[in-house]
Amino acid sequence: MPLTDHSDLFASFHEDGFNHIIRHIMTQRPSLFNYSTQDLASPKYEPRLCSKIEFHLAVQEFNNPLVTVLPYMPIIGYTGPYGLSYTFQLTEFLVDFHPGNLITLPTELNPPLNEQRIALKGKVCGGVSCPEREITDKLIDELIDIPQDPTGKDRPDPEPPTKPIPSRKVECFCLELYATLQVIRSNGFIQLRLDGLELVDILPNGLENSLECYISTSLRLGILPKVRIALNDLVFSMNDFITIAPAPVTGDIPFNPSVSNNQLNAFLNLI
Amino acid sequence: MAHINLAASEKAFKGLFENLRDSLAVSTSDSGSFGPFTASYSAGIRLEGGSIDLKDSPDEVHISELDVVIDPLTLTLGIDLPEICVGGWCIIPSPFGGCWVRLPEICIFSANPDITIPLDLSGIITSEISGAFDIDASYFTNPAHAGMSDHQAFFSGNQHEWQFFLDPIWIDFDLIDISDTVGNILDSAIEFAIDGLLGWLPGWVRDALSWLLGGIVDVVRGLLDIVDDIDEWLSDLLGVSFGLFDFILTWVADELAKNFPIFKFEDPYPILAPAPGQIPVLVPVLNVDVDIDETELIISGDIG
Repeated sequence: MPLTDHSDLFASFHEDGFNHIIRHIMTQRPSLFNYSTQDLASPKYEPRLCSKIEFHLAVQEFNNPLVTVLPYMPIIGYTGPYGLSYTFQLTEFLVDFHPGNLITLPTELNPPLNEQRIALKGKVCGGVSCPEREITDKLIDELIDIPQDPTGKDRPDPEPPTKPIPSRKVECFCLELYATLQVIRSNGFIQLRLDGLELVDILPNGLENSLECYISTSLRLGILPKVRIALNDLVFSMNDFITIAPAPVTGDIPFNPSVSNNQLNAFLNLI
Repeated sequence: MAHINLAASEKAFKGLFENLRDSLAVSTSDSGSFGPFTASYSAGIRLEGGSIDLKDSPDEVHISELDVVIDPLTLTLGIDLPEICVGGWCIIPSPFGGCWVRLPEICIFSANPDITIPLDLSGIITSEISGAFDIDASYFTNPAHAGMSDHQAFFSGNQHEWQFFLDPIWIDFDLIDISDTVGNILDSAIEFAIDGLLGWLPGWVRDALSWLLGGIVDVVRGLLDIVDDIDEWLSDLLGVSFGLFDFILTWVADELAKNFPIFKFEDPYPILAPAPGQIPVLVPVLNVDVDIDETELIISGDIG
């Protein structure tokens, strides 16, 4: 059957090609996948994170960051200027378009992969830079105890930490994550939307759920919206030559874009 | 299996072709001497219309009825008429020989050329181009990219490109028609030119000339070697003597095959546009291939 049976233009990306694209995004936009406090992000192109960052030479050539810098982690009950350093990295990202053939989903995500869905396997690494005992003992002496307001009012909220507590190493961990996603079209862009996410083998369940919640929210709000691809770029700027728009969803094109046969497909019409 | 497939229906391909067609235009001019007359022309050429038919086995794009619009077209003829002298006759001969009183002698057509006839022939020639084309995917290595990284080339607009050209397998130019009005245009222009040239002469001289020449328009036509069919004469002059139609054919073939791709994209391709403080994400596209079947054009490739 002709590819353009139901539209004027048709573009498809096989999952293998899409995974190549993801690799290029990860190496050319590393700060989208690597987060840490300022101290761990230095030196700029040799940060001290849990996983070594592979990046494209142009990132350094154009002075782009490798890492998105986050504020220091407040220490509960401590009111001084110090906070804990930490890092969070997405180090692997593999997608598998329906029908699933590259990724074996965990039972929590109800395999097999549903129609029009994408499976994702990733690796999350993170860690906290934990201060040695002698450092914390020294800081105890510097603590400034803010006296209770004699009028009985609450103490003011502590200021956010501005300095890292010195430490020698980051206590790192890496977790495998699995997710299911769907492709949506929004304002001329194609982007991934997270359906479900599962971290493997973490106990207790509450901890696992909390981590999953945090990572899901980061993916939904922070990372995936920034990896959206303009529809025009899916058809290699064909719009520079002819005026096109997404084909409407009909009986012949029930999904646009669609995920099937291990491909992401987009249908467009001339206008 | 290719990483990417990009398919354009025949309708979308026609859209691509029309975009290409409308960007093609050229001006040309030439001059030459052809015995008793000289000619020069100036032409603007563009393309309109045309129908597309995609063919499988072998992969071909057939283009037919692609109108060649020659507008403006100005042809200027310079004609060297034989010198004619009127008068000078002896009215009172001398009995001793010679002549006492003569009529004044008036010579005309002494210059070269004697008359210049500008003809506005814009839009009177109807012609078409038809042909069969392969689609050639070629890689344009931008010389301005030399010494630059791909990202530097992106920001300076000097990226390499994958370009897709219509490579002629065969191509024909058909002169369909030259409007009948060309005869009237030529005759009117000759009369206007003659009037301008002889208008200053006394009436008797003009009458004498007309009698002598048996119609100046016919003389001019004769000098131009127009026997009966002015269409054929104009076709020979423009097509054979000046080679205008071959020029058009070569121009169209060259522009389609070398200079104006029907579609192109940069390599590596910016799949994510630059953002503040972020370079574009460039992905190399490899193994690009083109396939044509009866209903669509398919461009395939791999992400490197």
